[in-house]
Amino acid sequence: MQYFCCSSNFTILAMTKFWLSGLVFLMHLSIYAKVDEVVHCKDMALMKWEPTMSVLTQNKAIVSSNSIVIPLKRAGKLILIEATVDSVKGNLILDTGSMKLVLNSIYFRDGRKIAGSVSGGVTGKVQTVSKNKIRRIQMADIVYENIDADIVDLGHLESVRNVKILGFYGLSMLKDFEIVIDLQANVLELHKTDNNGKRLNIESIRPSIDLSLPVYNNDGILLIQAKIGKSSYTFCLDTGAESNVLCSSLPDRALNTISVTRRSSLRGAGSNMVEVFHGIMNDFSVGKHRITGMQTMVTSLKAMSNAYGIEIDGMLGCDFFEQGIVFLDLKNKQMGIQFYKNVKE
Amino acid sequence: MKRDYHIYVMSLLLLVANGLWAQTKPEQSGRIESGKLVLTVDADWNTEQRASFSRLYDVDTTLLKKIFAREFKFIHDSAGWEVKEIRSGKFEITRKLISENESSQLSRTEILSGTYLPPPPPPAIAATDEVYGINTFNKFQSFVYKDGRACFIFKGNSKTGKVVLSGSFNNWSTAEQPMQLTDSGWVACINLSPGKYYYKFIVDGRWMHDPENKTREKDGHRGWNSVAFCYNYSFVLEGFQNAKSVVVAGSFNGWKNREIKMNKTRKGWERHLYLREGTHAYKFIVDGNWITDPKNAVLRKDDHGNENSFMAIGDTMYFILNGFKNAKQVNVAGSFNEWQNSELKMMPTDEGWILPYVLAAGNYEYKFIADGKWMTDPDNPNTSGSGDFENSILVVKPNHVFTLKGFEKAKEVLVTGTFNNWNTHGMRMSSQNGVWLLPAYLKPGRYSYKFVVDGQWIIDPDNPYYEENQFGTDNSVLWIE
Repeated sequence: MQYFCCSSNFTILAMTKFWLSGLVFLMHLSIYAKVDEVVHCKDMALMKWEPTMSVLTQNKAIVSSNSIVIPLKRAGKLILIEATVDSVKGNLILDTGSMKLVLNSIYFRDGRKIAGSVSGGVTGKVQTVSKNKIRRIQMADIVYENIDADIVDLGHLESVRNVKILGFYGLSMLKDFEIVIDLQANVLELHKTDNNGKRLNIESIRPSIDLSLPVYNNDGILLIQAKIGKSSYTFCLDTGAESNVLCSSLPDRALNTISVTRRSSLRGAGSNMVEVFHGIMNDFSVGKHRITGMQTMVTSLKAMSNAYGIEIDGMLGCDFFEQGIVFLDLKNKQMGIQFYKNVKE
Repeated sequence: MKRDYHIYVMSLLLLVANGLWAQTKPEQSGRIESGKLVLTVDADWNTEQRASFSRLYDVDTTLLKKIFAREFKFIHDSAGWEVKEIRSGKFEITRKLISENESSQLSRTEILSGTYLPPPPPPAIAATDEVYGINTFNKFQSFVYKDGRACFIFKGNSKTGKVVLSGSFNNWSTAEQPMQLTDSGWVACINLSPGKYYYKFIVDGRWMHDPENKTREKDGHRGWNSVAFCYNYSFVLEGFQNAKSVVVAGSFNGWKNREIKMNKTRKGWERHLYLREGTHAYKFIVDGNWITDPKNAVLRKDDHGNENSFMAIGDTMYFILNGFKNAKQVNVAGSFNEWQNSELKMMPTDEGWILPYVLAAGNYEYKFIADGKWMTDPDNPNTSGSGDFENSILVVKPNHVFTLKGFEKAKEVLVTGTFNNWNTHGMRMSSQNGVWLLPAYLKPGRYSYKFVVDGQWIIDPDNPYYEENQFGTDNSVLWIE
């Protein structure tokens, strides 16, 4: 061979760089974990809890009509909305698990830094959280003005998905609407509702749904009860995750139902490597509807429970939202699902 | 009843046999039981299956060998796995799940990124686009391309009066290209260069593929992307009017002999299509007989001695080698012709040797071969690799120039990044008036990169976009839209 071919060592080096840069990204984001008290996640009823973030009054969307249909873009399983944030064009990740707007430091670096928020990185370098005041966000027919955002490095995410990601767009920014997420059609519908949760747009009628269940909502975190086997557990709805996640301290009868297909490690705070499992959920049901074949990761959710101030047994990510059209009526604290037929291709 | 009984026994035996002797698939060998991870390991696995198991569950292949050698104590002492042989050649290895403690805590965002599927490989620097293509429609032709202008037409209705054209040409923007209502339907016309494009309509906020376009590809989300090719070439064969069928085949379609059928015209046969820029070998197949193009004088023999017609689309460039006047023959070979060393013969001139050639936009590597001796281009300072593996770099129609100012006295400056898998040999930049330059053709996407100035790694001082890397330093970030 007369031409130069890079050796596999270089490929491995590059891959390692990818993953390590991902871990650095994780370190940056760990600053969000607000540690209160240690809560063990196990089979239990919901605890009473206090909100950990104040309601952002400036997160009021300015819209011109009672119903809006926003086309969604996808990167992997992630859900993206095209947006212009202070003249920077790109995409926001629709994130039902975010409590507020989080922007990527690559494009919004000039924030005022808050000293004291520290996370130890791989290199021991100290990271600080920045805040930034955003003048205007335009997303399809929705406009936000003068909005506070946290600034973190999301470079890893961009490089994993090869798409320009401006940040996370939390559902708390849409709490005035009935939200419909349809990942088969890749659309987000927003309907203004009256105090009873009834759509103001009389032409838009809610279709019949297969399942309705209560949602526990607290300005950002949405929790539902679902079953693994015969036992009921608390799950948060989190489209920031591609697959589902189950807490590793769930009882045997729940973990037994998972086929483990992969084992890997993630770098946690203080550069500890944490073992995680990936697998398939064989016996999950919500209401009377059984769903098989969803991907899940198994790891400890303790730190997350601490940050949320409530014990959670699992997270339902994009894999769950791909099962059907999801209706979220936060005023009535109800979630509806119209399941897709023939979910698998 | 007796027969039923036999069937029952047979089924039972089959079930038992299946259970006992069925091979466990590596990707299905894990389960969690009584607070332990249990993995089933099969001695019958071939090398590929063993490697797959090792990769999926992070169990060393040497450990697997120890299992099959039944060195259970060694495995337990060195790696902490309990091993049990559940039947001959089938083992279960078991380890306690790591108990929850402070060190095993992950924050939400750490968990989120753990759920992301592994990243696809970064876009390769020398990646090439679709080589050729033809459009097919239902009754209505919903896409028209003429003189560099592409018009997309949607015949359906919109309730809100909002129809948007979104596609690979505008980065799948959901807002940038609204369609206008005309007598022929909703229309958007945009300037496009020849090529292959994916698109969809967004009608009242909802995505839909073009119902009239038969060429479509799965979009990965249970829907379809419509495909449009902007044509740039016509194959023409005059005469042969009594032939029943004429097909054109070439290097661009892997010489498939039934795929691209030509249409009968008054003078002979013709086929419009999209062909990627560059040089292509081809032949016509008239009623099963392969012939070269009678109107084309450019004929070359391949390595097997077959003669083919050659055509080219795009601007002609010249490979020039000065000197070597005493050489009997000089050839050029490169990544563009799979390094075939005898195909591209250069012609002697007064100053040396020359070969006119046409290449599509992209990054290529090449060498000259003077009387059998391989050499880099002495007049081209941009090279990659080193020693015997050093090749000259050729960039056709670059869309980005890596530029580094302020290092006039540096002896060697390289650029390396995700576009070349962080190859530590990098790509050698050339100095012009104290500014280091390397033109490159990069596919749309995100790249991170660094310069290496006399062995020292630095970020691009003129690029405001950068991110931290695992070494605690930074990488520059570049988007090619």
